[in-house]
Amino acid sequence: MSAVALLTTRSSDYDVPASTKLGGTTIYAPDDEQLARGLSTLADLIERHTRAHLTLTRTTLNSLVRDDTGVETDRRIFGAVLGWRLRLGVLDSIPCAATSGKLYRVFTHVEQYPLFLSHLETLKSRLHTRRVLKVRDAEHAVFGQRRWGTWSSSLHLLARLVCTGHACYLDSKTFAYPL
Amino acid sequence: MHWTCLLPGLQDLRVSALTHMPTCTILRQSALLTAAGWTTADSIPSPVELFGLDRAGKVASCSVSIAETGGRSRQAYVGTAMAFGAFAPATVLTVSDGKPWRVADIVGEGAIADLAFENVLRTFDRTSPLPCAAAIWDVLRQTAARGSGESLLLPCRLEPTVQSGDAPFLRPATIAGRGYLELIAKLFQEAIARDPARSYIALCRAWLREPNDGREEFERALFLPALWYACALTASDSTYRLQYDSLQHSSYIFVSGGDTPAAPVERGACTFLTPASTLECRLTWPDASWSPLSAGFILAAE
Repeated sequence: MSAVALLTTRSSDYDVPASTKLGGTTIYAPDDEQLARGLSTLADLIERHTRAHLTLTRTTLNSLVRDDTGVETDRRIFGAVLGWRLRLGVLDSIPCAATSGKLYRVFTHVEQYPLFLSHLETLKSRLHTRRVLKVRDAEHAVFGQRRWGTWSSSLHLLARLVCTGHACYLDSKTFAYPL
Repeated sequence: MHWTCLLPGLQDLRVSALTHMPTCTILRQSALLTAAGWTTADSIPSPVELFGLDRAGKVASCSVSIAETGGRSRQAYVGTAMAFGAFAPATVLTVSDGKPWRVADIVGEGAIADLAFENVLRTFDRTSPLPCAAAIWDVLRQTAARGSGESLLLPCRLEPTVQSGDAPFLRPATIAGRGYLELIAKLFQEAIARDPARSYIALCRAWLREPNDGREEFERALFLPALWYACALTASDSTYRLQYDSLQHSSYIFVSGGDTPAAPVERGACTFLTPASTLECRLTWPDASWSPLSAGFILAAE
């Protein structure tokens, strides 16, 4: 059984549980070894998947981790471990604007962060010149060849530019330079 | 010929004295308190008269030299309900029981909620609550979607709301269906000179207000404008409280009024490192009984 499956937020799940607090969440496991193994497995998977992509939403990241562990991680436990990696600066969370105007956040790994900033500048400049940009054009401009996740990351980059006032939505897949 | 060539022994003495002076490491972006208000270390000439606390805990000034170390470090942030600032991981903060804590250790140990910090944001009679309009302008220009010497176009997430007559230096604009706030330089300068706190509050409310939650939402990079906002609220006898996404990380600084204003001593509410790295600065000052302030936090010598 995966050590991740043994993690819980209820102390009553075990007779004499081991525990640790991450942010405001206390996480329990049967013993110290299982606790350490469960947390490091989750942290490693979060890092591995975010390192492999420019950006990921929490939902996608959670789904990738679930595919690897084979278990549905408690939402609070996943959030606490994700927060732990954010706290240590392994990841950063970047606000993006949805078509509705609401904010959502994407996660980028410390090793992807310089590339994220560079791609952001590329698209800002391209949007300024072309005035209108579709997500697939942005994808081609910054990633060249299409791979898993590159379309979504291109959308995130453009959605970040909406946040900073350098882009606006024409529709869910097309952006314009507003100024 | 330079005097140090004639008196090499005296030069050694000066170096020796400097090496025994208290020092601490901060970032170029760390906020320091001058008579003109909070400003970043990289925008102050050195040496400079900074405000801090003396051995009795009273606000006092001291001449401080600021020098870039040449080193880079990750940006770390620490926040309480009263203050939020950017620090180097090597920066040492004094917590409310007087003990020094390296920011890297606070972050690494996840100890933030167990620590309390005394925060000093204002000296009331000795420092300005806000810097001059030109200094504010320089900072806001970095976040503007478009800017010139005459006006800045600040992006708003929601439609900006400007009370008529409240802030003649602000013009709401909707461009391609999204909201912006145009800040007019000349009128802003006049308003800040006339009534700095009220004018700056009007700007932040029009620009960053989230009406559903009744708070202003500053992106993390705007920590200095958020600090000015807190000072402006205090100067106008308003209370406020800072809130964050979580204990472990925040992309925003939320500033809300309300029934439970921030107290001078508050538990830590948020701390984290970011992937961004930046240049470090070293502060050096002659009086070991004096401690500089950074973004409202009390620094300790290393």
